[in-house]
Amino acid sequence: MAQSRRKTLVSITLVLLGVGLLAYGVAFHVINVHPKEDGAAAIETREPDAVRQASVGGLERDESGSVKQTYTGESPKACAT
Amino acid sequence: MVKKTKLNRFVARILPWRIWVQVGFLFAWLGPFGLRLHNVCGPVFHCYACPLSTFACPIGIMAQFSAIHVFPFLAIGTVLAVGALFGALICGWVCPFGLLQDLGAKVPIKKFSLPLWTGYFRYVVLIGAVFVIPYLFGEGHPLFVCRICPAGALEKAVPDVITQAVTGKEIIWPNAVKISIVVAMIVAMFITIRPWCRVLCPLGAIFGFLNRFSVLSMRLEDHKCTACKRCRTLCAYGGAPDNDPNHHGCIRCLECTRCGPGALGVSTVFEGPAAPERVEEQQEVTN
Repeated sequence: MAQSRRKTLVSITLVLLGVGLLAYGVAFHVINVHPKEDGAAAIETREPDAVRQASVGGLERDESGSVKQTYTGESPKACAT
Repeated sequence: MVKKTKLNRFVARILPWRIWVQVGFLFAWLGPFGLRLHNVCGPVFHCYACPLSTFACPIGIMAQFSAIHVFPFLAIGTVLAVGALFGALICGWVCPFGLLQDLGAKVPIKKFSLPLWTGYFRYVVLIGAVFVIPYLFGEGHPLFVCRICPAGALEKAVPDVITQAVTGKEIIWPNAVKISIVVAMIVAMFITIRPWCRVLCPLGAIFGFLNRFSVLSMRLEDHKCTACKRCRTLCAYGGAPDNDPNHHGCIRCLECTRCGPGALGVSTVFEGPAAPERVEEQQEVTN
């Protein structure tokens, strides 16, 4: 019984952890994304928007370590890979 | 017989229709209404570069975020929540790339069996090509997961070439690596069952790992098992459900639940231990 209860607890904890991470990503996580133009101020981008940009290959990390867009103007329609 | 819960009666009814369930889900992943909800990760292996994809691929997003050194809360949260609920049931019943391989396997050619231990390569791909290589070398590295992914090759490169040919545009051929991956994948699909899922799929690695901890799980009623080994014959993966019904390599196609004595079934963590364990518990209480 103890083993069964432990398994239930682990399962529920993992589900809640997943939902928690998902909720945090949707509601609170913000990434500073720099436009491609040099010197432009970073834009605070919510994670769902960053996911959309990453899904078209629109984000990269530059030499200084900051996250930068790979395009100017309209985003690409699909990832080149 | 295993206790015929509502869940198991439902499984028995739906089991012959598995391929149609997969086809039904395909309509969700292929976005028949042209929805491109790429700010949401789907819980399946389906390339976001595909012209018809509805959701973002969680593995692609994990790799892209590793490359920019940002923790992918959304992708990991989605995979963890869905995996902790269903385990690899997603692989067997929902994933479009699994469906493609299942259809390939229906071609009547002699199939070669891959040993179960090859499933550990999936963890190498997950850790290496999805997290470590992107983190250290960025998305330009040739072993970045999207560059070696057969879903990307089949769902993006092939439709691109066909579209260019149909519309009379100049055909831009994919590079040699992509062509090799497409050819190898197509050949492998015909000569073995679910080669990608079994040996290399990083998403399957996560779901397979979560098989042991998921809310929905497989249950073996030991006292009902006659050791007839029919479940092993039913398992297309060459697994031993009577030995380990929640093995990390299992995709939960649920075929093993058709075993004669009915010792295998689907259960949830809320259902408590199997019958003999309950007897032991009662004895412990009495003593």
